[in-house]
Amino acid sequence: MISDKDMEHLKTLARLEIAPEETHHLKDDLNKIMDYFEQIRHLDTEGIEELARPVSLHNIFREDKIVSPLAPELVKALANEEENGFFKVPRTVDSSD
Amino acid sequence: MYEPVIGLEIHLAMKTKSKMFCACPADSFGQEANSSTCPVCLGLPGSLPTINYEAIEKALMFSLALNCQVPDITQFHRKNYYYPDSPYNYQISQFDKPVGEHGFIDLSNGRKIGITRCHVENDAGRSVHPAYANYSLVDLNRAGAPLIEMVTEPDLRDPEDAREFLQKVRAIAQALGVSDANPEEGKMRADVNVSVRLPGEPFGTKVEVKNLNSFKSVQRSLEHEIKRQSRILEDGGSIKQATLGWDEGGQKTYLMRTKEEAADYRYFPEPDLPPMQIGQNWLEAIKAKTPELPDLKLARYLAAGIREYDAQILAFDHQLASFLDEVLKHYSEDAQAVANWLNGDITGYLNAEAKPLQTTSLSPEALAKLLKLIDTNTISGKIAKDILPELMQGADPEKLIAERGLSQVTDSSEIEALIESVLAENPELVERVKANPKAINALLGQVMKASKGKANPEIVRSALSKKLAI
Repeated sequence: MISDKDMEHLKTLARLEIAPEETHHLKDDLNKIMDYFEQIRHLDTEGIEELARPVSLHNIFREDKIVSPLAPELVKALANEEENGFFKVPRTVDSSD
Repeated sequence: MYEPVIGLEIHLAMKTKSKMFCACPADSFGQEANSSTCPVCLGLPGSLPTINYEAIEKALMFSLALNCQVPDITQFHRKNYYYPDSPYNYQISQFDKPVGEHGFIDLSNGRKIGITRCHVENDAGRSVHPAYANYSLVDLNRAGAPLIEMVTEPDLRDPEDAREFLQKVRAIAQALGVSDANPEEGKMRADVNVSVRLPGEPFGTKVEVKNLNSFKSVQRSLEHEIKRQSRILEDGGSIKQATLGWDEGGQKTYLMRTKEEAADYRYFPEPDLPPMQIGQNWLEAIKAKTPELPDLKLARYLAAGIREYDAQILAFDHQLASFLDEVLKHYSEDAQAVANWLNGDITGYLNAEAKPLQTTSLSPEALAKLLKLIDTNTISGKIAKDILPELMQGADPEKLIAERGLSQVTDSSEIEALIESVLAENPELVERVKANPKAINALLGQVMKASKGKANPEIVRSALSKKLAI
């Protein structure tokens, strides 16, 4: 079960500001997901090795060659807001910094 | 007296053409913002990373050079954290199977500094925070650039050791061509962990000082932090675990944040990147193409007759060492003489001009020629020093000497004439020297001045003694 304390921790990790009523709602949703995982946990996985990747490949490399990056207009078009080519985002440090 | 316990975490920007997991240029220093990006390093949905072979090979070469054990299998993990200049919301890094573990570097005082691990990861982008604005600006050119992170054991015991260690790491990285390891350009960044304790006691509480961008700041911040912590403990206080920044202007540390609970990175194996099997054949091939390491250079310089002090400086400075090796190809008569010039007048010139050697036009051939001209008595050491600044700007010493008539005067009749006129002009000095033969240098100086530094001082000295019968 996800507790209120877990929710606070998740908010910190996700760097999200969430209103109290929304937090409550999200907690219910997350707990439903956790219930589902709980069902999976009951499966018998004895003797089955953990699988990190669906196919057993190894040593797939790319040669160290440059391919032209995206055109600046395309990159700018991805941004909600831009300034001189930079992506403009909400302030990420205290103004005093 | 408290004893410091120091560990370092070093990030090196790898010198590859393309980024770690995509084909954008790895080095976009000074380029327009977001002009070196693609769907992979922008973290666009549906894009897939691919591993840069060269980066893995360089990281393996570096690990071997640091005496690390290289595992049979190495793999990438996702390290989950949200940061505005990291568009993935995770960093592709290494966790349980890094490219190297359990290495070491020996310091000149014989202390062995353990290297916990070396791993490969991708760099974040860059944020700019305009003054008084309510927004930040993000440039993702650097996002996805290849990095090596290396972490040491808490084996360092004083700031000077830390400086030497960093210098050795830089020399190795540069000699191998793994990284430019240039702190000024952000190609080598260090975080330090430092605590103090009474000798023999368990480790004290450590603090981390982050983002130190020069060897000097590492040394100074350590000195400052050791003093600060010792004072707190002496006054009966206790050290709080914290992350500090270094204030270059004020030369002191400041609190960045108190340590949050243990970072919750939720590492898991990167499903988009297959593991890498390294194997003996690959390692042998890497060893075969590994360039000469600084320790071997040091041994070679000592064997060539260069004094320990000079050899240490040269072997652990990649630019000076490369230059020295080129000079020695053209002039092997006296390696110590080359070392004297490099560590003496040339370093003096570079410091005064605040320039690195490779930005000057001094060629190794020119320095070799200059040394030969001195050896054959064609020019005096004084003239050689005088023309050095012009050599630094690309002049050829032979041409310069021919054009200016700077050849040393060894012709005895010419010297004789110079002596005659100096003696005639300085009767008092002559009397003094006759009374006290030790004062001969005063006359010698006058003759040298009259010859504009071109007379061979040894010939002048013996001719003077003969003339004055002293």
